[in-house]
Amino acid sequence: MSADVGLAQEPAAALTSRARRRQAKRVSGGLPVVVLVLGALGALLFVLPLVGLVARVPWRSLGEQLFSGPIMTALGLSLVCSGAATVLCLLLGVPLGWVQARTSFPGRGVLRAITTLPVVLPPVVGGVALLLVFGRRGIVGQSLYEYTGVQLPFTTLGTVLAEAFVAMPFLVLTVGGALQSMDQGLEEAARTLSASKWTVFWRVTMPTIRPSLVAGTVLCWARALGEFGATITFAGNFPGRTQTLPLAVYVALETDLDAAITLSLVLLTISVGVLVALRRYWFGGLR
Amino acid sequence: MTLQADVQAVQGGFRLNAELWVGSGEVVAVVGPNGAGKSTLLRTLAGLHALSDGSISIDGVVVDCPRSRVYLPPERRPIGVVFQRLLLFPHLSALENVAFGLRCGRMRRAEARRQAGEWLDRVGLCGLEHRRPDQLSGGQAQRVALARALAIAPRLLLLDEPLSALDTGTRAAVRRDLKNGLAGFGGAKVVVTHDPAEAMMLADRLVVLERGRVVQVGTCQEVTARPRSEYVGTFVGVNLFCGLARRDSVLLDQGGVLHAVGAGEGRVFVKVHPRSVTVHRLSPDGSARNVWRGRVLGIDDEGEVVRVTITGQPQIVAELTWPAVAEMGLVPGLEVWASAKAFEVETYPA
Repeated sequence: MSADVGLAQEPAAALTSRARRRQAKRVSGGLPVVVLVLGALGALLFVLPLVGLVARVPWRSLGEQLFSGPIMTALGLSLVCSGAATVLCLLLGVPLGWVQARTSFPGRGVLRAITTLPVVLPPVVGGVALLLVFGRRGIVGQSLYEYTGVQLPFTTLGTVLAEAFVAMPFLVLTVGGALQSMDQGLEEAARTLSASKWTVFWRVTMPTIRPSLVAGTVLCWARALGEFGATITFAGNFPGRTQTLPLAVYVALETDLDAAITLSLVLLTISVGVLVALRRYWFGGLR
Repeated sequence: MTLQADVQAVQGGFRLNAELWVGSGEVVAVVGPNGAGKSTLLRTLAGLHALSDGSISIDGVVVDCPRSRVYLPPERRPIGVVFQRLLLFPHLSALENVAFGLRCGRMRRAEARRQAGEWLDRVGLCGLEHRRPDQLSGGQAQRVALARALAIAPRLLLLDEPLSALDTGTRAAVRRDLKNGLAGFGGAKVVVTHDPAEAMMLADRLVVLERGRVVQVGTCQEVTARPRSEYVGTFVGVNLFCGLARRDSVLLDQGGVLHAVGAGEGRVFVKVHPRSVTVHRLSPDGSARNVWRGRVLGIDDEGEVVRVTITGQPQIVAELTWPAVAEMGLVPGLEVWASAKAFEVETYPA
């Protein structure tokens, strides 16, 4: 009986090990071992910190932490500021992307480079630049304060401006690219159907580039939400006024590690949410 | 006259200079080789490309005239356009596509949808109102595009290669539908095409455009009977030569001589229908006055018949039946004799 079983099992076992080897080959895809090892190390660089963070989350006191005053204040301020910054970006960024995609004028390339700069510029440099222009002694800031009494640096308004400065290029690039690559014949067709330019914009152009518009907006909002360098430089770090979530994490790290971890978890959750929501837009071509 | 146009336009380094007039109810086909300026002409009529000089008037209203500084944009012209790529709005259903123009004309939503539904019925798309363009077949999308253009009650309907997006199988059927659709529309109609069958079936009159200029205008019969350029000759499917006539023979520009009855004197066009050209393996000793040697260059299957191109003086196309081709064993490179009777060689002044 047992011999029978052994005999019956042996070919099966051989088959599975062969299958396993075949499977291993399929995963390796014929790549050199060095590449595989380095690639795995690269993946660890991303995975380990995330696992480390999630592992240290004080799950028991999470609810208590989450709904404590300081965290809710920072979260609320972050949502308000990033939301306002996103609206500002939409209001100014869509027309800017439009102009860049559809008109040609001398210096267009330079303008495009400048509006793309914040993507690669260290945010703290952006903060300094904003301070020099919109600060109380700045070129614009001084007259703005003298004539209207509005003060931008170290205010919630300043936080919004700093976030918009850093986040808007993401929207401009996405929308501009979509406008450039969309079939402009559709707009011409609409005009021959007696649609005014305004109608064409709202009823043909916008719906056509909608996927890119949504993706650009979410990307822009996520960037605004995570903004740190330009905000702390230009708007400072005042709880309830300019201390957004990332700033709160930074401060909490010195005093209350559990709070820092909880705040980080909130930001991480939002980021993962964005990634999941936009997976089709970004990874549509991949499986 | 519903459309009167003296179109002078520049696009890149290309100059277009063409006159065009179309009566109400009339269908005019603008034909010509690629790059002749057909699409540019259509775009100037639609207002998508401004004139550099000349003028366009629709129903007596000047819509473009640079000299008197008049230019109406497309949305203010009484036009409907069926585009080559159809350009249905991908985010709207068939019904909403047709209703789009009506809504732009400030019609109330419910009324626009009701009328759009009627238009879809009229073009035979009842039941497909809520399909998106990507859920329609090529022929169905074509009909939606026509309904969308006609729904706004234009005075001038422009069709740019309306059937080129379709595969050859459905083209004949859609062409028939399109002819019926056009017949019900009382305004002026301009069809741009490079397909002879499409032009002959749809149009009352042909305007032939080559290198930005009108080279011939006439009814389909007139143009077929007297083609006046090599392109038109090929377009209507005949051999056309240019040459100098002396008594009853014509010295062709491309080399060779053709005898024709009553050729007269001076510059003439010489037309030989491919059906009138006979092909022989050996030197024929018949009554044909025109006999010359050549080689088979190509054999094209045209369905019922075969078109055999023969090099020689002159190079000519003969129309044969499949059995004849098989019997003679015609293959490219084979040496043959071509012949044509003098009374089947037609000449007219150039």
